[in-house]
Amino acid sequence: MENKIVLRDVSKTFVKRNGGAKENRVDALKDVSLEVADQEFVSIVGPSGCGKTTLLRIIDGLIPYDRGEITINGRPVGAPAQDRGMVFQTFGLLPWRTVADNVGIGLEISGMELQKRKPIVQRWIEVVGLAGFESHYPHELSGGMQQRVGLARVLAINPAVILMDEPFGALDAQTRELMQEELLRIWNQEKKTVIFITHSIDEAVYLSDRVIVMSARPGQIAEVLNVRLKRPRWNYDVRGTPEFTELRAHIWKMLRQDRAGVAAPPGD
Amino acid sequence: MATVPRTGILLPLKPGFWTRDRLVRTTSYILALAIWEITGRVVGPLFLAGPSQVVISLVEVTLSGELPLALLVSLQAFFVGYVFAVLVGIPLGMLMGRFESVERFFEPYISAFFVTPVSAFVPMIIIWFGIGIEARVTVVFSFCFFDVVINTFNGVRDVRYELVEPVRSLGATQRQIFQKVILPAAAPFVMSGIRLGLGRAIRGMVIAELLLATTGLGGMIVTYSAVFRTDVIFAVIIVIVVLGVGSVRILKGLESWLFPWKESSTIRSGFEGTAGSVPEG
Repeated sequence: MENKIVLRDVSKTFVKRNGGAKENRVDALKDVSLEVADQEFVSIVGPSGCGKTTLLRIIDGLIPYDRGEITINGRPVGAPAQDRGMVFQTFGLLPWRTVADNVGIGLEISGMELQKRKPIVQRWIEVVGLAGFESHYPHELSGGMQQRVGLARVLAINPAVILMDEPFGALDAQTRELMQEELLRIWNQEKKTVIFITHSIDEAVYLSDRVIVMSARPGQIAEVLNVRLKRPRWNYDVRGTPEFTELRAHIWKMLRQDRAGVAAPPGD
Repeated sequence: MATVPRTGILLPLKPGFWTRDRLVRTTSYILALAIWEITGRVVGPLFLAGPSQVVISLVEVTLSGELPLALLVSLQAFFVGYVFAVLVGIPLGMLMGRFESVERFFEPYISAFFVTPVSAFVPMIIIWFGIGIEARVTVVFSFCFFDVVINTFNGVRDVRYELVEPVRSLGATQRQIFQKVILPAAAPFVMSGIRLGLGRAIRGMVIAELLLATTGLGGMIVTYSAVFRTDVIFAVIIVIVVLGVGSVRILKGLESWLFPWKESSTIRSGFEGTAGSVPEG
């Protein structure tokens, strides 16, 4: 099945009313056009406020957009549905549900009965490496393990597209690298289309086929970069290759220009 | 609401039955009883009966059947008023939390009644309901109703965005979001409302008996104060304290058992029945 995502001139303006007639308009996204191929891994980087999270939420259907067109596999995107799934930075697990019940909630929502859900849930718990933790509650797990649950919850509904909103942003550096590698393995196996948002240039280059650089106010695509690093990337030192270093430096320079000198050091 | 560990001032103790906490508690009790007993002997039982006398009287009025009967009468009004407040308060709080228009509609009255001392309405309650059980039920109801409503309302309204979003993202309908996220997330708050309401309902029960109908436990206090029997008054007060602390304890136990996913510290810390023990969202 072809899972191509097409965005054409997507625009979004947030209007805040501070009481009375005074309006505060913020152009979050302006004429964003993008095509993501089937099974492609695309990352979006950009300064805070460039609208990258807004873009992802629009694709998921969590918020409406004002103008333009978005299609997945030729079908226009509307309210959230199970052809796409989202992984959140804050994990968003339900604290009163065990790992297994959190992973199964998508299937529960679509009306699948418990007996049918069980083996599917079990399979994905194993894929993300949480076998043995089925009946643990989220507060008993580390951040990395919680996000594995977040990932399994989305994989369980078998979506064509996985949207990831800074999924590893809340994790420590070591856990983060481990999760990146495992994400690549899972992606390699499951053949999903992924749109991945991150603050880390390093993470974007390491994971992606293409890196989209966005600029702020209004949120627009500034540049699209192809990452031609050989896959699989977990069995050699990707970060040590000249191409990796070069791409990283290039993106860093772009973002610094955009932020006009008020920037933090590269990486994240 | 984590508490900062404090340094102990007592000698370190070997593990066993006499932990430091137990020792402090026991010392506190012994001291209080001693001061009470001595003061009682000094000023005489007309002003303050000592604990030894109170215990004897407690046994007497229990065996004579007077106290159990008064307790039964009190509990009737308490039970009807409290259960009614919970049954009406939870749905109302939920509707207010879920629909802004319902909130707008009821909020001014709830806020106004919540800060007004219910005792101020006692004369009106007598005019409307007389001094029978209906009046006492009304007092109990108005004492605890608002705790139940406000806690339920806050619980439903303040369900965190980060909990709702992922479930919505999975294609859940509004109804599914309510069932699978909002209800369970609000449940500990509802439970807090039920627990806080319980303490206030007991207060309402006694105040109704003191102010409008000389009956039940409050009635015993009124009757025996007329003849300066401070020993019986204290016996009744002890029953009220045990009733309040005991029932709140039971509800707390129920809370920890029902919501094991809530860190126990948020449920256990703080004084029993105080507003500070509302769980963190």
